[in-house]
Amino acid sequence: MDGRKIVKKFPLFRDCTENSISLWQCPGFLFVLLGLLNIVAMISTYIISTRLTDEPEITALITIVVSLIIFIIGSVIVQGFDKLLQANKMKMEFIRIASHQLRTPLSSLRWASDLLMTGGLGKPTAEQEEYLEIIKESNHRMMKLINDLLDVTKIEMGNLPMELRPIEIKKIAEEAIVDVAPLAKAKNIVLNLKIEDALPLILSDQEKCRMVFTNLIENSIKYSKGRGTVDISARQKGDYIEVSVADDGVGIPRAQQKNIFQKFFRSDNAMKHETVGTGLGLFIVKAIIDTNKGQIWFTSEENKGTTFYFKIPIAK
Amino acid sequence: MSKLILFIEDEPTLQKTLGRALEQEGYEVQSALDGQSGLSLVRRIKPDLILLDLILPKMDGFAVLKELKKDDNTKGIPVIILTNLESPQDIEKVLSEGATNYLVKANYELNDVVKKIKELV
Repeated sequence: MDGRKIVKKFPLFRDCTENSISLWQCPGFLFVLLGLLNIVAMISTYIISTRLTDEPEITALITIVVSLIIFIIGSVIVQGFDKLLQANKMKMEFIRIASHQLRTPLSSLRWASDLLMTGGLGKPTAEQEEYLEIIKESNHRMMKLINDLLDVTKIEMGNLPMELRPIEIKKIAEEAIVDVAPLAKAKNIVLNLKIEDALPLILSDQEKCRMVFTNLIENSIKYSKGRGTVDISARQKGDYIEVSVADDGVGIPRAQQKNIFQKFFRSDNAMKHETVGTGLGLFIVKAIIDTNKGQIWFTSEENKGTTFYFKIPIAK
Repeated sequence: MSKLILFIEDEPTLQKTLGRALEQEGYEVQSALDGQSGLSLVRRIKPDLILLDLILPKMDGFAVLKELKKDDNTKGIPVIILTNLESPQDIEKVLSEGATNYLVKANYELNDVVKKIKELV
């Protein structure tokens, strides 16, 4: 493992480490490998051909031809991977800039509506406030959509940044509940949090873990039957903390259960009950849990409800 | 005397909204639209706090921060990075180079930004 780390720090390979390309796809590494291969091939062809023929000219010719073939094939492969690396680099840069440029006007919009709503420029009437709320809500949705799309792009490039630290799962769940409380209230859903204080810390990324909770709880609220309860609980299971989010909502049709974690997938039930949604939430949630070396699964029965489970390793 | 805040940001609408909110809190706010003029304005007006975007014309926020922290006259001024870049590398880079705080614009309501600023000046 240490040897690998040193290799990855080597300047020739740094480009690949920064763009999270594996060693076997790294042009720098392949180039060195190709060189070594060529040397080995030259020596062995020399040895073999000296046994087959006594003419030194023919031996030299065979050796040269064989190493030339290896070199040409190798160069083509290395070049291919080099293009891949460049494309990846450009994509990363695009995400970085796009996330900045797309979100800047949205920030302006958000702050301007905040300023109007707080009454800093004169108190808005109740009706004006209602419309400002629409602006704010749509702005929020747009921002979430952009953030989700950016996350999906990062996931697909195998580069979802996670800062793993020991964190308290109960605190994260409580924060998530604060985030979703307005939605729960609007939909007549009671949220029950049943997590003991004494659970060991988990090893996860605070922001991402909170996203997992808010996504799952929001789904439970959105696909409810107009009222109901959502139970959020956690328990220790071996080296993991297992969390469950259980609702008594519309459930997921059996035939569509296998697609639930796919990108852009939304079940018939979901479309019927709640048209707002992109089908990205569970895809992102699963990617976060996978990157976190955890596991996610669910049980669901149509018209009875759904329970999502996930487990995350305990910090050691 | 009211505290002076310099806002280096190339988006005029953001300047205007946050500027207005800060003025309501009793701050004096000056702004610059690019890194170069921001830097020379810092040297002239000696603000109590600098709000700095990272993607800026002429000279980006990373370079402005570096210049500010190199100069004995300006290195004591707290700098809040106010941007929509949010990769861990960017955050780590500016914090290690002496920025006081890092706020991702998209994640904060106006009031929360004002609150963070009030914590410093």
